Amino acid sequence: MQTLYPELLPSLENTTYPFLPTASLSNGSVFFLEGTFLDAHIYAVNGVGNYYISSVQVSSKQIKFNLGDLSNADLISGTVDLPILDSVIELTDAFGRSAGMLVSEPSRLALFTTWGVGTHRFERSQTEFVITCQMPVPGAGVTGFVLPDGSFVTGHVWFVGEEGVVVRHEVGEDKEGNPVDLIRVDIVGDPLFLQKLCNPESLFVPVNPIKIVRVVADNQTFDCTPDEYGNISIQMNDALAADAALRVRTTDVGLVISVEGSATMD
Amino acid sequence: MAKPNFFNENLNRSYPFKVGTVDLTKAVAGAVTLANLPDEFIVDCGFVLGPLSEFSEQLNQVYLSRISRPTSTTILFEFSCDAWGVSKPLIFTRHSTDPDFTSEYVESQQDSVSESTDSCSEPDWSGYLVTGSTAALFSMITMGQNIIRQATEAVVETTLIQNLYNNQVVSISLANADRTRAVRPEACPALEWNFLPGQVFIQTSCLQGDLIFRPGYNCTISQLGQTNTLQLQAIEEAGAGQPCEQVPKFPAETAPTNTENELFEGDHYCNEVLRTINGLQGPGLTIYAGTGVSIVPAENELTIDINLRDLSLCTYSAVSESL
Repeated sequence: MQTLYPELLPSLENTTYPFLPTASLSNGSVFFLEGTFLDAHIYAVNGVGNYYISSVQVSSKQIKFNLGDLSNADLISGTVDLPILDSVIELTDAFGRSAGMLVSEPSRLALFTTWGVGTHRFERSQTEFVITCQMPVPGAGVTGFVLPDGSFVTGHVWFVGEEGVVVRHEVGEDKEGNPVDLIRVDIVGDPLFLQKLCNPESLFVPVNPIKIVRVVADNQTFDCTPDEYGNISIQMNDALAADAALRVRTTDVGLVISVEGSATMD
Repeated sequence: MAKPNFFNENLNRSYPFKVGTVDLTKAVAGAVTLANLPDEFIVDCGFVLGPLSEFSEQLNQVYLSRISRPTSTTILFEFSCDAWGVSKPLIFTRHSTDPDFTSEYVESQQDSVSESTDSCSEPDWSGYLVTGSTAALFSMITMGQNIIRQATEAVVETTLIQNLYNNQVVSISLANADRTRAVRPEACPALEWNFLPGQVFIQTSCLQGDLIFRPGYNCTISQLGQTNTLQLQAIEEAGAGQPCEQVPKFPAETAPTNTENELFEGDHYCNEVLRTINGLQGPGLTIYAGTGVSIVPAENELTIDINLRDLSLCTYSAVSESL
């Protein structure tokens, strides 16, 4: 009995679709049957088109399909675990981002279990997909920021300056003199950050530093403030007597103020 | 005989819906449901889930959620998606005067609640719809009829969905975490700022288009073409050199209102506090009274008394005079 209006996928099972009609479907040692895949939908974010199956890796646990394009033979991939239960093989790029799917049925995918364990490579002319399976992706510009740990961020991305780094928005000009947004990065430090780093729980114990040394002598008062390096000197004055006995010595243990002379003979 | 084209074939099969989710029984005029949705109503559709849609092929699906005929000349098709990031349905409109196989492209409306992000957002999703026989539509759906999806009906084929979730940077926003701010001792008046410290201060949001990184103070930025990497390095005097003034965390940042200087932290400049005495630094500094000297502390006062204690004194000594 012939079905007058077959559903879409059954209508494709005896065709080379989703591969090009000119695709040989064989690398000389293994081959795809017509109807191995019923449909495909491929849209790698960094792809440039002309997608094809570049290799099929068969292992005892799973089958991995690697798809390439004009620039990269291993651009995206999808896997199906053994035993085969899935009908849809989801394709993802190296960062796990969705890149489409291959549609089949478990009984059709069983073909690959007859291939030997190992990697089976194909040329573009052997397994290129038809253009209607390949969806263009808008030129999004930057598709993501990869972080040192391998993760990546997309969508609305925030740059947050902290620990001495300040990020700012400025408007500059490009080579043609058109206004362009600038992201300025200043690395200026955080003067109190070391204390925060040492004791982040309670920040730090507030100090009440000495700002002035006030000298009171008889009825006179002098305010001694630190120099540009925060230093102050206490010295003896030997201008009035060549044999001054007062000594101010800086030692490892502190400042010693003494008078030279003979000790009392008791 | 001319070969039937794609749309003509779809008039008689479930596509673009999954087999078994529509046209389960023969529909009659005025009693159309999505379970028995006639194949000739919709012949093609396709959807693009946006970069913020959070769509997952394993978890989510797109489906026809409602058909309504609010006026005698208008029928609305409402498609929905159960992805977390898709809040609004796509609504397609057909008029009784539309020709067969009318196609229409629609983008989801922005959510007016979250204006801060919507100003630079991509649509949650978008799609196109090609309807089949307009005459069949208006003959089968009666005026005022509102057909709502029940459970698992009218699910769109997965190959008609392009999932762009996580596939692009939509915008860049800039902010700065707060600087470490000084805390005064308990006995002193607390520092007061005319803003709330401790926040992340937003510099600008929703930058889009071509952006340029500019190295500021003590910063170099290099581009490594081989690895497609931008490398930012902190190098003293690099970029714009050393700043002459403090760099604010946000344009309106000011010093505390109750300090004598203009330091944003509320701290002291280096030359405002004693860091060393005769080169000796704290935090604890000991002053010893040697021979002939007494040091008497009292509150915030040190009395250094050169009293020649324990020294042999001569009546003609000039030492004490020189002091």
